[in-house]
Amino acid sequence: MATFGYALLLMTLVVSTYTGSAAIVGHHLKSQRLAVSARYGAFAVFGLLSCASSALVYLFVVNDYSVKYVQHYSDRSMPLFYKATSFWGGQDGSLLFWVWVMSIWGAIAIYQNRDKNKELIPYSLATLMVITVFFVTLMLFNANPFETYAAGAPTDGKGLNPLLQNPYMVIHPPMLYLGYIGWTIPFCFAIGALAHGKLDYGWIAAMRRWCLVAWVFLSVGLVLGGLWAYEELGWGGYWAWDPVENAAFMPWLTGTAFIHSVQVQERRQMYKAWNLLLIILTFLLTLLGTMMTRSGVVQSVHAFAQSNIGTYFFGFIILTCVVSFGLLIYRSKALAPQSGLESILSREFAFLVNNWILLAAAFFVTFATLFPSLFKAVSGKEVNVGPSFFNTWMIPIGLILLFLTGIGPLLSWRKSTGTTIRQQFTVPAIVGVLGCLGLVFGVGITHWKALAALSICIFVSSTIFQEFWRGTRHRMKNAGENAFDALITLVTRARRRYGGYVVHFGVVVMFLGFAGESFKKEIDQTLKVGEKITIGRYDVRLDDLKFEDDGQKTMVTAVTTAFKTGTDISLGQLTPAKWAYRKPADQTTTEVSKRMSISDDLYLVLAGYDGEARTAILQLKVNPLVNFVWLGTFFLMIGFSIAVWPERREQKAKATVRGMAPAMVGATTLALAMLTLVLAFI
Amino acid sequence: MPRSNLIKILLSATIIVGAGGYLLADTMAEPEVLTYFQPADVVIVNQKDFLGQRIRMGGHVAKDSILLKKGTLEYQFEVKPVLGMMKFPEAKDKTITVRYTGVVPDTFKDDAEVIVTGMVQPDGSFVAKELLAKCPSKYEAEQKNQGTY
Ligand code: HEM
Repeated sequence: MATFGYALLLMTLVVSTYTGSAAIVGHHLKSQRLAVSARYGAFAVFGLLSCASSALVYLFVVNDYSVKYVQHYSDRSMPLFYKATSFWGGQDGSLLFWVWVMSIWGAIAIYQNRDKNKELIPYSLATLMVITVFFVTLMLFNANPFETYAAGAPTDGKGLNPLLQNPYMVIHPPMLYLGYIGWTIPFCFAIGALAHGKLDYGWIAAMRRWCLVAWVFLSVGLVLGGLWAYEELGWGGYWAWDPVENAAFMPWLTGTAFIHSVQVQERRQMYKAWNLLLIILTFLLTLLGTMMTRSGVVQSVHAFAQSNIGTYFFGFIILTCVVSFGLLIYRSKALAPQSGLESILSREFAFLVNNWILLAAAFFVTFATLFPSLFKAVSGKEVNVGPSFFNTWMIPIGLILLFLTGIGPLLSWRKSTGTTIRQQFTVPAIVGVLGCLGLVFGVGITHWKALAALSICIFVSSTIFQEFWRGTRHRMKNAGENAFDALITLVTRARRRYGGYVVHFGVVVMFLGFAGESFKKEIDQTLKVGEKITIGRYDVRLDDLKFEDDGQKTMVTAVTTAFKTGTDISLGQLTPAKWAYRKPADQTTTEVSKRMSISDDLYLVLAGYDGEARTAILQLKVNPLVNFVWLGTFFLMIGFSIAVWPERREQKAKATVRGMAPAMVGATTLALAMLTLVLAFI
Repeated sequence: MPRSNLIKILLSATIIVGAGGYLLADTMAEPEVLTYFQPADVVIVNQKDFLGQRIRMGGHVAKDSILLKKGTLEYQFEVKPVLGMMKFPEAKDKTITVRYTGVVPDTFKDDAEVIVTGMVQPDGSFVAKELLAKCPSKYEAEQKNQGTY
C-alpha cells in the first residue's frame, strides 16, 4: 500500500506537469482539445490525490507500522477516529493534506468555470499546477509520508501527542488549511488575469465567493485554534501571539483588506493594482506561514517540525514574488485607475483607510514574528519578542479598525454630504457617548483600553442596528409588510450588504470578549480537602482528591464545588485533573475544568497535589466575557452565510446549482464546524 | 498643490508619525518586550556579567534534580548546558540552580529542554518568572535530522 501511495504521488507529478503545460500550449495553439484535456487533467490530479490520501488513511487504520509516518503518529491503543485523523498530525501528511485540499478547490473552480471566463482559465490552471508540482515534489524528495522502514519495522507506533487527541485539533487544522488554501484559487486567477491582460472586474467577480469562503474558514480556523489552546493548554488564555498563530493571522489580515477593497473596484473601477497586490500578498503570507510553522525557522512553543523544507519554501516564495511582481510591473499601464478619489468623506476613502490599517497590522505582525530570526541573522544574538510587544501595537490598531467598522458602511460612495453625515451619525454618536459615560459612572470601569473598546462596541452596534431599523421601517411603510417580513425581504434583497453588517456585528461581539481580558482574575492556592477559597463572584471548595486508572492512563482529579460567594448556593461541580498516559511514555496532560456563563468563566487547573496530606494546588481564574469571542464567531459565520449566498437575480440567471458550488461547499462545511462548536459546549 | 491639501497631508503625517513614535517609545520602555536568549553554558561561565539583567536561558533539566516544596508550587532544579551546542566546553559538567514558583507545563520533567526567563541572583542561582519546557524530543523536533522517522 505504501508503494502504491508513492506511485500515486509520482503519477500526480506527471499529470500535473502535463496539465499545466497543456493548458498553456493549448491556449497558444488555440487547440480546443488540449484545453479540454488540461481541464480533465485538473480532475485527474484531484482523483489521484484523493486516492493517495485514502491510502494514507488506510495505512493508519490498519496499523501498518512499517510506514514511518504511521508509526510516528499513531499506536494501536488509539481510537479509530484519531487514527484516521492522524493523517494531518505531522509534517509529511499535512503536506499531502494540503495539496489534496488544493486539488479539491481547483477541481471545483475549473468545473464551475467550465464555460465561463475562458480567457482566464489557461494561465490560472497553469499556476495552480505549478503550485501542485512544488508540493508534490517536496513530498516525493523530502517529506514522503509513505516512506517505510527498510528492515525491522516496529510492531507498534509511538502514538500521537495526547494534546492533539482532541476534537478541536481534529477540526482546527483542516479549517485553517481550507482557509489557507482557499486563497490559492483567487491568487491563481489573479495571475491568470495578469498573464492574459484581462484586468477588468471579471476575475474578481469570478472569485468573490472563493475569497469569502477562504476568509471564513481562516477565521473559524483561527478561533478554533484559540478554543483549543483555551481548553487544552491550561494557561487560561486563547491567544499568545505565538508564531504558529501569527502565521494564520497574517493572511487573514490582508485577506480581510482584500474583500473590502474589491468592492471599490467593483463599484468605481479603482484600486485595480492594489487588489492584485493584496491577493498576491495574501498568498505569499500563506506560504510564509507554512514555511514558518513547518520548518522550524521560527521558534514556537507549539514545537513543530524542524527540517530543511524551509529552504525549498523560501525558494518558492522568491519565485512567486518574482513572477507576480514582474507581471504587475509589466501590466502597470493597464492597471491605471479610471477614476479618482472625490472626497475624504466617501466610502472609497474609508475602505482605503481600512486597508492601510489592516495592512499595517499585517506588516507589524509579520515583522514582529520574524524579528527574532532577522535579529539573529544580523547580530548573532537570540532575542525573544513577548506578547506585550504585540499588544502595545495591536490594541490601538484593533480599536481604530473597530471604530472604522462603524464609520465606513455609513458613508456614501463618492461623497457624503453634511446632511447625510448628520443623518447617519447623530444617533450612534449620542448612544456611544452615553454608553461610555454609563460605563464610567454606572459600572465604574476605569481601565482605559477596555473602556475605549466597550464604548466603540456600543457605537458600532448602534450604527448597525440603525441600518437594520431604517431599512425595515422603510419597507414596512412602503410595502406594507409586517416587521418580520420586512426584515427578511430587506436582508434577502441585499444579502451582501446585510451579511456584511452581521459579520461586523460578530466582530463587535468578539471585541467585547477581548475587552473582558482586562478584568481577569487569577489566584494560585493550596487547599486541603474541605477548604474553601473566594475568587471574584465564586467560592470554590475542594471536596475530594481522587486517584484512578483506566488502563490507558492514570488520573488524579480534584473534585471541587463552586458556590456563589458567601452563600451555600451550589453552582455545580468542577473537576480539574492531571492525566499521565502510558503511551507515549510519561506524557502528562492537564485537564482544565471550567464553569461557563455569559458573564464569565470560572477556570480551574490542578497544578499539583499531595496524596498523603490530601492537598491540591489549584490555579483559579475568572475570565470575564470570554464567551463573547466564541459567540462573535457565530455571528461571523451567520453573516458570511448571508453574504455568500447568491442574490435572487443571480439565481434566476443561472438556474443551476453550479454558481452556488462554493457557497454550498462553504455552507456545508461550516454547518459541520458549527456542529462541533455546539457539541463542544454541551 | 492647493494649500488646504498640503495642510491635510501634513496633519495626517504628523498624527501617524506621532502615534507610531509614541507606540515605539511605549514598547521600548517595557522591560519585558525584548529579552536576550543565552545558552546555559554561557550563563554558567559568565555569571557576573548577567547580574540584574533579564534573560532567557536555555538548557536541559539535570536528571533527578527537580525538587518541589511540599504543598507549594516552589520548584528548584538544576539546568545543564545542551551538549553539542556549547560555546564554553568547560561548563560541560556544571549546572546552574534555578528557582521557580508557579504552575509548570506538563512537559517539565527530567531531561526536558527548558527555557527559563528571569534573572541571575548574586548568590549564583537563577530566579525564573517564566518557564517553558519541551519534551526530550519525542515528537517532531528530532525526527528529520536524526533519521528516526
Ligand atoms: C476586522 C474587521 C472587519 C471584518 C472581519 C469585516 C468583514 C466583512 C465582510 C465579510 C463583509 C462582506 C463582504 C462581501 O459580502 O463581499 C464586509 C462588508 C463590508 N465591510 Fe467590513 N469587515 C471589517 C472591517 C471593516 C471596516 C473597518 C470597514 C470600514 C471601512 C468595513 C466596511 C465594510 C463595508 C462598507 C461592507 C459592505 C457592506 C455593503 O455591501 O454595503 N469593514 N465586511
